[in-house]
Amino acid sequence: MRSYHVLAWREIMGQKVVSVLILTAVILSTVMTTAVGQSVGVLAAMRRQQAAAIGGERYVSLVQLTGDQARIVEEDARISYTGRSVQLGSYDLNDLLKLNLEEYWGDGLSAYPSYTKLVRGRLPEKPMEVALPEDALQFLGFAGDIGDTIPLSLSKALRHGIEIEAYDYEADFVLTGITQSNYLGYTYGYIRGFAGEGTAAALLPQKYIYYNLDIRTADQRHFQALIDDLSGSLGLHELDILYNYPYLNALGIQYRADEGSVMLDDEGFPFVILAGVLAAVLILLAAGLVIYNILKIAVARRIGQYGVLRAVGAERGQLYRIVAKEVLMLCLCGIPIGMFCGRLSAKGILGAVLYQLPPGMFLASDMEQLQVLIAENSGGKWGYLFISGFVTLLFAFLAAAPAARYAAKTTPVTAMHGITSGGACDKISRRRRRTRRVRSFERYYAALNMRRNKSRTVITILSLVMSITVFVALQGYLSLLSVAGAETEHLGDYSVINEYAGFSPEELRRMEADPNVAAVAAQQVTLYEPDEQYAPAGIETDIDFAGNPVERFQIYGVNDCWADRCFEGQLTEEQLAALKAGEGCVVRNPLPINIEGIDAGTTCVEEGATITVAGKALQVLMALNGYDGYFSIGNNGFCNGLQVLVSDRLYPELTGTDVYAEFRPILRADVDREVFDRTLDSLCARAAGTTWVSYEDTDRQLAESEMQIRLLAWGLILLIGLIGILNIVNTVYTNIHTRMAEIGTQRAVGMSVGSLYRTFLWEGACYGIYASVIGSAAGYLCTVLVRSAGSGAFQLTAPPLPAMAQASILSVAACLLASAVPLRQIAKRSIVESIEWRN
Amino acid sequence: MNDRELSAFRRRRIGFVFQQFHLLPVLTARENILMPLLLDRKKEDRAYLGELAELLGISDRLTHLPHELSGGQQQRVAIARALIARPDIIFADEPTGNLDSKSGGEVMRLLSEIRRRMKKTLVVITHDSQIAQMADRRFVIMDGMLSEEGVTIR
Repeated sequence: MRSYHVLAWREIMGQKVVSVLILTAVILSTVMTTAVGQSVGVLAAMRRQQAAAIGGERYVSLVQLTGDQARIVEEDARISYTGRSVQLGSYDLNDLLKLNLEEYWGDGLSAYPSYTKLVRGRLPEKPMEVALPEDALQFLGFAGDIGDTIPLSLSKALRHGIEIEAYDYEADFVLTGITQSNYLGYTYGYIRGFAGEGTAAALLPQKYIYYNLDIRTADQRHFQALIDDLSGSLGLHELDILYNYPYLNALGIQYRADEGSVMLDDEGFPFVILAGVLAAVLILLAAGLVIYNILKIAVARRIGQYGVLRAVGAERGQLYRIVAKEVLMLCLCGIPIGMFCGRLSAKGILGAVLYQLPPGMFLASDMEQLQVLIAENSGGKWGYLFISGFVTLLFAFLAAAPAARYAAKTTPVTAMHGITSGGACDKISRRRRRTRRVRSFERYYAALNMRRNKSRTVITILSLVMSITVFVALQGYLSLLSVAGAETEHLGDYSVINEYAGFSPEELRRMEADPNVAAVAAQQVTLYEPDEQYAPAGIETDIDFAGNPVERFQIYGVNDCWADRCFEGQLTEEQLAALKAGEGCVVRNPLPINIEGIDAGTTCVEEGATITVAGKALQVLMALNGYDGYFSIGNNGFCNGLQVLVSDRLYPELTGTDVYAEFRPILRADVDREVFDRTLDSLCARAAGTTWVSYEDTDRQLAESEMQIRLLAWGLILLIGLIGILNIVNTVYTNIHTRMAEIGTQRAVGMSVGSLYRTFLWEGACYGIYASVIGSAAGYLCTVLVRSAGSGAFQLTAPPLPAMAQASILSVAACLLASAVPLRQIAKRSIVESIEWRN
Repeated sequence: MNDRELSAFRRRRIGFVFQQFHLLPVLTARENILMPLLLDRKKEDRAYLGELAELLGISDRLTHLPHELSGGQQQRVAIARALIARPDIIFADEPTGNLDSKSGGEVMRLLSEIRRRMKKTLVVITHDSQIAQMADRRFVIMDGMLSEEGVTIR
């Protein structure tokens, strides 16, 4: 033995059960911290990538700068990157979308990799050259190719009234490149096109030439101060400083948020990261309890040995280091194994979690893009791996610290006393000392034993409570998933949407004539913005509007197929006929919404009333209220306001347009879906801005993600459950071994093996029963909180009794099993051997 | 005999007194004494318990836990436990080994008194020749050979 440190290794080998239990706890907690750490790393990388894709790799843009101002910024040493551009003007593609043409200087386009992916040709280099995306060319109806001339009528306006009048002009450009369509700009109503350097000088009057500068600063910590300094020295208007919020958020750069600015819906990243960190903390706490409990007991059992060491001259620090080294060695074995398993499972866990949430929360358009993003960002993350291992090690040491301190505080006297104790000297505190008759000695003795070491009992029960709480809460969540899954019924097999130009009635007829299609449900929509009196602008109606500024009047038109499938059973045959004939309508009233705590009123139309819209009197056949049954295009969500649904025969008369926004084709049986997918692709080529989803695909994805989340939930349950069982095994094992002399005495005075079993099984059952009661209550509370958070209001739900019963039975069974296994060996031990047993 | 029968034999027919008392630390003195009866699911005999406690001088210590008692008192509780089931024979393994001479003498006086009054067989294992002198018959184990003083047992 070269050093006293070898004692740590000898102790690990000497107490194999204790070592295996601690090692298992370390491995399980490392698996979780690694999985969470890796997921956090992937999410952070995804967030940066998506933020850069949306707003470019720029922190801020200074717009409408003069040439001198732009030069000063470009020459500022504090700025690490600038990209200069000139806004050439915009072209109205339709009522909702514009083409914005911009001239970029030098490598200014390098900050926008997602907008400049070329399908054909090259990016523009010379004046009058342009590169446009595929969808813009579709909207323009351009049938030419690379090198062809493309005429555009552009309008260049300056911001906040520097020049009141916009400059309108026409010019012929040469198409040098076609870029991939990028739908990110649709949210803001524009598509981006790029022109070569020098185009502005050739086309715009000098007074309309202003420059935009995309900026990254060298110092991220003082970013806002630098921008404020630039703004002050250049005299910039506050509206001319455009922060790239998603990118700044993703990089964690502090900036002054503008209250009026539009914030992107990227809260999914911090939400999932927080949820992951909470899960990891839960596991770490559970594992920490196990390590604390096991080590404390192990040290207590060796207290005599530590006393001998102290008697022969060991310092307190040396004893502390022996215990710490034991934990360190177990961590060095367990953490790499846990890291390996955690890294393997991280991608699956993250995918399972993210697929449960709307892809938009992660700045992705659909699940497939989300999958690609996860795959692209899953490599590396060594820093996060290191942090995960370090956190686990830290927690293990924190959990081991009380035991190490306990060992270090041992005095030679108390230690020697610990060795020579005959068992009767153990100090027990008991306030209640009953004298009435004991009916079952085993049960009575088990109850007394539970109070012997209160902290051990509490930790054991607490660790089981955590397992049961997680089980009950996750079971409640999974039952919600089942309900949600059961509710996925679709009208049609596909949803084909074009909200910009829409589909002509000829397209509807063409689709209905398709031999693969049995029927097509189709709907139209027109949304009316409120005027100054908050009445719908551009349409006459006698409806008594409440004057709520957040309500939007909407008219929906549906064809017969849609009406039949949506309202059959809800409307009588006569009412359905009246709806189809354009004599009646279905109304969905808006939801009541308060604005800053003030009730602004809610428009309400009663069933049976007659309303006049665009001079046409309509009987209200049915009035829907509340959140259910709102009308929308695809899955685009709900726009609050009065919705009037009529037949597509009447819709053109009311709105002045006959285009459809959505088709829901219903396919014949045994149709080759790939053939129909190609039909839809050709429709997309004809009608720019068309998107489609297959409900078969989305249902499959939903089912897959539901399965994944179930597996994940069960994984978490098993992980925490295993840790709980580790604690039980340890507690029972320790209880039995520290009471060996007592067991011998009990046997000597006449206790049978069966009676001994019953005593310890009662004790085990009590752990399970107490934990079941507390854990079920805590799990129910969590379920209520989760559902309340989901609905936005506190609501009591029915207790998940099956989950509670399952958890209770499982935990009691686990406790009984954990008690019975070590007892088998003890019961075989001879009475004399037991009495003479030394811990 | 199987374990059940052996256990019943121990709690009904034999009483044990250990050198290190071996009281159950979680039970009071009264509960420790009654343990053989509790294991046998027998009703306690209050009068007999009172008589034993009186005889052993622990009547005012019955609600105490073992660590609240002196060594001599703990051994007296152990003797009461050995007697509560009215066994035929009592084995005492170095009953005074963990006690000072005064307490040891007191315990031996009590054991002799019990043997005389209750007419029980008492087998005492001891290294103390003074205690051995108190016995009716004395056996010696030397180098693995058991012999009765004055008689050689083969």
